Amino acid sequence: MRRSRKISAVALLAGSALVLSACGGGGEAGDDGDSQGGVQGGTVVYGACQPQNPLVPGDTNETCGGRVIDALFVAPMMYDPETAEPVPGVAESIETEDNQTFTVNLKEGWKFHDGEEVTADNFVKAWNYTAYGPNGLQQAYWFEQFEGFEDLQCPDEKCKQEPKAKEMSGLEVVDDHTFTITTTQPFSVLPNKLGYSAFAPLPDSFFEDPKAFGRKPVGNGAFKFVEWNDNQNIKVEKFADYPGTDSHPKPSIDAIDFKMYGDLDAEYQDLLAGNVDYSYQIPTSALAGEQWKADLGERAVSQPQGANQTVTWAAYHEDYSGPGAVEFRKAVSRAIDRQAIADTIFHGARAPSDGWVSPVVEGYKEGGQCGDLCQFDKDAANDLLAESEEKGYTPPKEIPFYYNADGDHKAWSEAMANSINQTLEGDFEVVAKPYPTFAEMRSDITEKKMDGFFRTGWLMDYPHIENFMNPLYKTNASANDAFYSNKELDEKLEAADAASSSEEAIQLYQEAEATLAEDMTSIPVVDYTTNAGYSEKLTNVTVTPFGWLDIYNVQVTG
Amino acid sequence: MGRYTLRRLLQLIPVLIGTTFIIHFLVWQLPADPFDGRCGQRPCSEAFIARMNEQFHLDEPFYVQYFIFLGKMLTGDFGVSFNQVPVINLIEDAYPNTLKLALVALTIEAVIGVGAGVMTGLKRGGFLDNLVLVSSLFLMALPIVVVAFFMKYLFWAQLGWIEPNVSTEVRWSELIVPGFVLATTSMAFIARLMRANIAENSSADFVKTAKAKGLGSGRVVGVHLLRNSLIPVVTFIGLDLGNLMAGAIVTEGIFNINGVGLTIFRALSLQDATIVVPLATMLVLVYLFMNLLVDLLYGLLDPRIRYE
Amino acid sequence: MSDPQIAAMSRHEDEDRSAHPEMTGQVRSLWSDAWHDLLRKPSFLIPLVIVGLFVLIAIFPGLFTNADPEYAELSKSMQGPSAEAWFGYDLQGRDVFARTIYGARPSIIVGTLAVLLATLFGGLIGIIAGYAGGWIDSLLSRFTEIFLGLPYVLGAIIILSALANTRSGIGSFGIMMIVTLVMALLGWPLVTRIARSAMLAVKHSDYVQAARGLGASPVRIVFKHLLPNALAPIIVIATISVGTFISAEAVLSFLGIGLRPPVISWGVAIADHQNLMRQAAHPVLFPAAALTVVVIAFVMIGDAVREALDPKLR
Repeated sequence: MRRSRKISAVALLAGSALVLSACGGGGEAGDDGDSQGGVQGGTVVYGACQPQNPLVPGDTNETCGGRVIDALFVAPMMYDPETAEPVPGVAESIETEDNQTFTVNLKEGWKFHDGEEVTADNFVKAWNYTAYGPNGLQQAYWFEQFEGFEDLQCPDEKCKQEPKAKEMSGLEVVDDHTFTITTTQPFSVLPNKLGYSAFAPLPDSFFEDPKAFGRKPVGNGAFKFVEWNDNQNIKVEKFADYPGTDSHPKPSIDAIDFKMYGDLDAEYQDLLAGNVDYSYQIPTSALAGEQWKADLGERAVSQPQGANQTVTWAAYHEDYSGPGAVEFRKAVSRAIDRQAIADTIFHGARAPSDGWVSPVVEGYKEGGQCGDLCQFDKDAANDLLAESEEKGYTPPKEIPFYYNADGDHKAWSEAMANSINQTLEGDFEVVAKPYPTFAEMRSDITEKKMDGFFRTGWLMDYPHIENFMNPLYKTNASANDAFYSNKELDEKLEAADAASSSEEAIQLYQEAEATLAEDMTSIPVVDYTTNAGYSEKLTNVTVTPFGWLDIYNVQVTG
Repeated sequence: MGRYTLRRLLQLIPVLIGTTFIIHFLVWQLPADPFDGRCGQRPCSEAFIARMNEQFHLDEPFYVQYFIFLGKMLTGDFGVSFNQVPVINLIEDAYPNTLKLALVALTIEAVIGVGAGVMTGLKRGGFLDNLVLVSSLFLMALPIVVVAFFMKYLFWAQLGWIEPNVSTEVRWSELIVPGFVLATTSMAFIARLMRANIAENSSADFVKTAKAKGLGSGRVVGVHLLRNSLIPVVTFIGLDLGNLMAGAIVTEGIFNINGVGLTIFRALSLQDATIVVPLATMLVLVYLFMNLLVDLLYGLLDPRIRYE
Repeated sequence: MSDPQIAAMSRHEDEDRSAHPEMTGQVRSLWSDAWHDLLRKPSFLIPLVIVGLFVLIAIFPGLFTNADPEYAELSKSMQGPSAEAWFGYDLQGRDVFARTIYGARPSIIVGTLAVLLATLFGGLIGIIAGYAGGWIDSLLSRFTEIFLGLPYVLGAIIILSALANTRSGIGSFGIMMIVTLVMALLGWPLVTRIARSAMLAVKHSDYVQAARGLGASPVRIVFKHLLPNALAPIIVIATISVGTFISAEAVLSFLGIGLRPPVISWGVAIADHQNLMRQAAHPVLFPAAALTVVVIAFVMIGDAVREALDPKLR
């Protein structure tokens, strides 16, 4: 359990100019592999799924494509396979004096798979392309803190007129291997963010034909693209000119075959049969009764993951607002038997949440920030309910809880509803109601049409408390599903963004997190655990806090 | 016969238009905006939606979309999916697999069904007869999911004869168990149909005549009884090809076969109408043409039927 | 899934009728004959008792269990059968016996109602088409073929996905009605086919020609002669269909697009616990058994009725 981490690269950001990278250049990669001999080479069959978008870093926002993108591209930063601390990728160092202007120094000798050298231009052009409104790329919002981002957005809804500019004023190429980033206001966490794949560079060949590129991407990572058979597999193979870094050395394996499955059970059975080497999700059928641990033995991996499951109230709805509503939400929170749900329904694949931030990220506060409010207690819950009634709040007779039926959320949703109904002694009932698809549920959420409470979850983009705060709870934030607005929280977040040191930033983010307990519009339920398994062929296996296989250090034997 | 065929083909046109219209209407009028789930937890950017609207004519009225679709289908252009994957690629990947699975299922149901039907039809009332009657009822009533899980558990987990999932090459030998699962209901039905036909025809005049003519019982059974009793079975098998292809979703899911049904089912949950409509249309085409073929074949097989 | 049988049954019926139009001449005696015959057959009486029992369960579930099917105790999750709970507990810690009992009502209501709707509508269209002939027949036949062209499972998945976005206010009844309507929508064309060919066969029979020759009014011909004689095959297909429709409903519910909570459904129970079969099978076993028994009972009744009405098989 990596619950507390004292030192991290971000911590080094303190003070004035800093140098992120310890050792420059490529570094001697694959020490393990070389010394053991005979374990070089081989193909890893990686359980996967069909990407939903073209394979362009700036257009990939889901894990099916994300896993492939991660093998093909390297951003300025990367995340340590074991701790998820940010470590240098293509960047030699990222320097800043004021947390607002950042100088990115790139390593030399990095190449795209088509032989082109990776230069500052490749980053700046790629980022401008991604951020440019009319291109409509999914990851454009990643650049919203950059100066000049607004000028690249469409002035009207249908994008009939061209935006004011094509390039963000906050990006400037200094020389072939140096460029600067300027943000609209101080943002101390930026270097941490730069490990996310949306910040990967693109070769010149992309701009010639973006569409063709999306089906046959050319990256700068350790693996190069070979082929993509829809709904079947994507093959990538080792790129000889990948220089490697300390944390991400030249891979010892020759190739990865991302084999797609539509069904987790099917994938798991292939894992047992040795047809799949790594599977990052274990189906419920195998989790039940710890069956998978018996099946896989030491090859079963269970560790915390940077994702959590919350439920969010439509506090904007008249039925759920007014005096006493807050106490009612607190009563509901205390009526959820998180431990029983985690043990019985998830068979240990989740852990009860104790706050709004995943325990694996930088900035998680030991013990959580939810406190008693996330502890199941029948009497306390009913006391809160009585308090809420005293203040004049009457809940509706039927309180719908919405979840999407296409994502294995039914069992815990029903268990949670049962837990609340059987704990709270009031004249109302929580009814778990499915939306057939995630899409339909999202549609009603973003259109502010909810009339109860609903499932929300967050999978971290990068391992920092900031990623669990700003996008979710800041007024008008892109994923603020409750349309929550709290002035105190906003101020804290802004102060944290602008903080001069990492410690101070984390301190402020944590204070912001603590304010969430006052309103409980979002109730933490469970934290995700990565349950993964690998085949007998693999050795030296590390599963990252993202739940991904460390493809740089893994070895194939036999 | 030629004129009849032509008339039937012409009659297919309004039916095809009507059916594709219904599918198109249902899929494209799905309640949610297709882009809402596409951008994860965040709403899609206006620009992204504008880009997609332009490409897929989503802001046009429904009937315009339908005619654009129809026009493209007629020229063989299946378009691209929301993921920008050409739909024809998906069709090329999925159709052969589903067709293979359906053919395996057809073969199994024909061989076992007709075999059981003939054996029991000739010796009605015996132990075997009752066994087949009862077991066929069970097979017809058992939900296919139960059959599928049972077979998979038995042949993979217990006996180890099969791999848990069909590989991406979709070899014929791998399809035997999934084909059997898919065939169960029809198999039971064919057995009963065949039995009833044999029973009925045994007392028919032409069989009596043949016997009276002094033909050996082998020849009576082989030529007269079997041939005539097979006619409705052939009809059924022909119709069943369309049914099996469209009904293979559960089987394809459980054995992870990359077929049409599974592709449609996945696309529906992603609300990708660009995939659902052409693939479903192709299934309907197969279904309707098999219907037609069977009707025509019927005339050739059964001397009592003449088309004007 | 249920489609093939019905389709083929109907074809088979078609054949019998067109090949032997004379048999409809003895309908009255046939009906009473058939009835007497049925009452002596255990293959009819036993399933009839089973169906009767399930209908009773569907109407008065409270007579059979005191347990609340919705009461859940996670601590009892997946516990096996015991004296306290005969069929054990499910994943949520609910009483499986109670849920199996309460699951009868939705299955039987949806199956019966869908068949009723499909038979009424399909039968009407078929009778009109068969009686009127000419362009009306052509038009109605094409219309029927459009719906017949939608394969059952595919059609149900597409339509139910389109209709499935049900937010608060729909309730158990609404959910059941949607599934019923969709199944009826996809089921009626088969009835139309059978009704039409039955009508055609009767229309051309000698005694109807005779009645017409004697100057009977069209109304009298339809109600006195045509309808009663064309009904037999429709009734047979309807009885069998109840079984296959219940089975089809379970498959749709299993796929997550049919019945869903708060409706208690056997198909949903199977779907919810199929993944846990390696841990404990009882939450799947009992609903699956109930489902199978009901479907077999209906199919057997239909089969017996068919045999009784089809003198050739005696």
